[in-house]
Formats: sequence, structure tokens, C-alpha cells
Amino acid sequence: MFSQRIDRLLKRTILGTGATIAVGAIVLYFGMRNDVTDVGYRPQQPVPFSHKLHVGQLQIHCQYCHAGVEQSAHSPVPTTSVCMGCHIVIKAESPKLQLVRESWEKGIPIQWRRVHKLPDYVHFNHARHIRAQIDCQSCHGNVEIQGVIAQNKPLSMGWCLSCHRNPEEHIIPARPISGIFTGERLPEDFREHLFEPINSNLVKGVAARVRPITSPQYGAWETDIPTPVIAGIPHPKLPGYGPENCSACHY
Amino acid sequence: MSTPAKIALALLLALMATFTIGVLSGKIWWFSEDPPLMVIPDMDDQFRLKPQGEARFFADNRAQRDPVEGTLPRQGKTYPFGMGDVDSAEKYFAAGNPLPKTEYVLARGQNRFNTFCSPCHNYTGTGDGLVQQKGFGNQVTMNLLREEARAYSDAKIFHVISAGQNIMPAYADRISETDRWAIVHYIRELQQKANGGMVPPTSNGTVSSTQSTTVSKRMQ
Repeated sequence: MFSQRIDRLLKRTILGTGATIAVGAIVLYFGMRNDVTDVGYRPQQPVPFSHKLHVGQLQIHCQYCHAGVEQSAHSPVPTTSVCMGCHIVIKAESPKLQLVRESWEKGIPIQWRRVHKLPDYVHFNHARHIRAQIDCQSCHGNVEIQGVIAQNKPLSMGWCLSCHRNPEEHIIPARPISGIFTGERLPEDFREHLFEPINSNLVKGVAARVRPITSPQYGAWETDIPTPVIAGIPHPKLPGYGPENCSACHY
Repeated sequence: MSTPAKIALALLLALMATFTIGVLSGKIWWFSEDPPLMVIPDMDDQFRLKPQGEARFFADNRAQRDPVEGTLPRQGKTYPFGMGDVDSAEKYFAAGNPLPKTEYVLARGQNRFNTFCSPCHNYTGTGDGLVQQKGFGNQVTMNLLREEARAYSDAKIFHVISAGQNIMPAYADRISETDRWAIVHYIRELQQKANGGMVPPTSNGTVSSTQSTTVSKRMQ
């Protein structure tokens, strides 16, 4: 119908447009996943605080500063008074701590930049996960080797569900350094294994033994947890399957 | 197409494929200081206040407001005594430790002691924790196993944890009352172990002089 030249041009245009759309779709589909866009977000904080120094070298437990994570949905960023508890003596003149001292004297909060952020239509309860003896490392990565904190896991819905469905493959059980209460004393030699799970087979054991009573989405399963013995001590629970009910996480 | 061009093209394609597979499998990742890209923001950011968040509505930009003066906590109590007020505290808590000394309470005591006390006092209570070793210089962290501390009443140990002493800050805001009593039990146990299994001189606030002398003799 057309001349040979136009015909060839037409063919090439159609092919080229198709290829561009296909490549674009692939790039958008894979490139916009949370593990590409979110993982590795590492903002500079107003105070150059190093978890590598405080946790890795000084072995200060996570809950020393993030106290209250056992009771609260939100894991608190420590108040300035927690910093000043030690830094009123240690490095009291350091210019890096100028902002902390100002905050302490004037009562102005330090504006830390938030690294891990979930969408506002879901809720995540730290206390529930801590009391199920799930280590901080499961979601926050190796904090003890990070000088500046970066997001380590995608925090997407698929990622959450992968743990709720197959906890034994993903969850790292409590380590001594996290300060998570397991209901039992630490083994005698825990000081040499501060950064390793206390009972590395805990989740596997529980998942193998404990089966949900109801349909899994309601998250009720058989356990042999003793009833809380002392009022006021947050009793640990066994790690197991998480609920898959939509309303477990979504408002 | 000439052969070198073909080789170059093949290499380029191989490189691109490796990179794509690396990124998709999570083996290659990089850091960014820019906030994550929001492709479809949906309702990711809603108009509401979050804990420890920012609120431009208030002059000081804090979403979290201070409680009205005179507010009482719903759970537990605020600690009423100041750092130097040991005598009042000893009188107030004269009944001693309200928790039973069970294995479960001691486990909780160990957990809280390791978390909050061990940075300075060390895991054994000897007062040479890593923060003390590396940070404090000529400031001394007290040895919890020394004779004087063994003679402390439970109420006094509880008071020191709650209100602080010398350079030690108060921990009443970070450790609950129950947990502080559990720590007291655990410290007693550490002292007992260090003292060759001897029962510490007191558990209810009074130290008889004969008991103290026995303790000091044992130490020599």
C-alpha cells in the first residue's frame, strides 16, 4: 500500500514504541518497589550519634535508651536527659554534642530525622513484637555496625506478611544486647554471645509445635505460656504465626 | 557489525543483566540521604499528630504536649523523693521488697540489671563496666558488692535506683516500680554470690550490728 520506505518506517515505529513501553513497565514495576526506593535511606542526623560506638563497642543495650518499647506501640527516641545522664561527665565539652547541651539547657527537642516510616493507614505495635521475643535485628538490621542508621528492610506489606506466614524462616529470636525479656535467666556464658540469639531454634521449635487454633488470620494459637505471675512485669509470649487478618495492621 | 563491536555489546548486555539481577535480589544496594521516592502517595501521610512528631500548630512545634500540672500517671506512681532524701525513702519503704524472690522475678531482675545498670556497674556489679572503663576517666562507679553496699537496706538500694546518687542519674522514669524491686532482688543475689553464698545482712531495712561485723570478718 505504502512505499517500501514508509512501510519500513511504520514497522520500526510500532516495534520501537512497544519495546519502550515494555522496558518502561519493567523498570517501573521493579524500580518502584520498596526494596529499591526505601532500603538504604540514610539521612544525616543533626547530632552525629553512632550506634556502632554505643552498641557495638560500649555494648549499651537497645532498651537502655529506647526504654518503654516493651509497653508502647511507638519505640521512643530517647529524651535529651538520657543522653545527658552520661554526657554530663563524658565528653562534656565536645563540639559534636553542642546541640544536645543546648537542648538540655533550653528544653528544645533535638529534631532527629525519622528513618523508618510506615504509611499512616497501618499501625505497627513494637510492644507486641518485643514481647513475642522478636529481636530488633529482624526489622532494623545490624544496628551495632552502623555509624549512621539506614533503613535495612523494605517495610512493605509483602515483607510483613512473609514473616507472619513463615516466622521460622525470617525471625531472629531475642539477643542479650536487645534487652528483651525471655522469662528465663540468660545462660552463664552470655557475655561472649551478646550479639547472638539466646535460643536460635526458638522460633523453629515453636512454629513446628504450635498450630493455630482458629483460622490463621485471627492469630490465635495453642501455647503453653504460663499466666502472668507478677503484675507489672510484661510477660513474654512465644513467637509464632502472626495474624493475616487485614484489620490486624490496617486501620 | 564488526567483531569488536559485537564483543563490546555482549559485555554491556552482560553487565546490565548482572546489575539488574543484583538489584532485584537485594545483593546490590546503595545509600541515599534523600527521603524515599513516593510513586503513589495514596494516604501515606495523613493529617494527624504522631508520637514524638512535629506539629506546627504549637509555638514549640511539639506534637507531644506536657501533661497539665498535678497530673497523676494512670499506672504506677511518680517517685516522690529527691536524691538526698534517703531517710524519708527508708521510712516510706520500711516494709522492704514487696516482690517474692522467685526465679521468675530474679530473671526479670537480671534482664533489667543487664540493660540499665551493666553499662557502668558491669554484669557482675563490680563497677567496671565498659562505659566506666572507656568513658568516665577519674569518675568512679561504685562497686555494688562492697561491704558498705551490702549493708544497705532494700529501701536504700531502691531509692538510689529511683533517684540517683552522685553522678548516677535517676532511673524512675525508665524503669517501672515493679522492675526496680526486681533489680533489688537481683543485686542482693549478686552480693550473696560474691560473698560466698552468705545471706545479705538485711531484707527489711534494719541491720543489726552483729550481722555487720560477721560480714566484715568474712571479707578479711
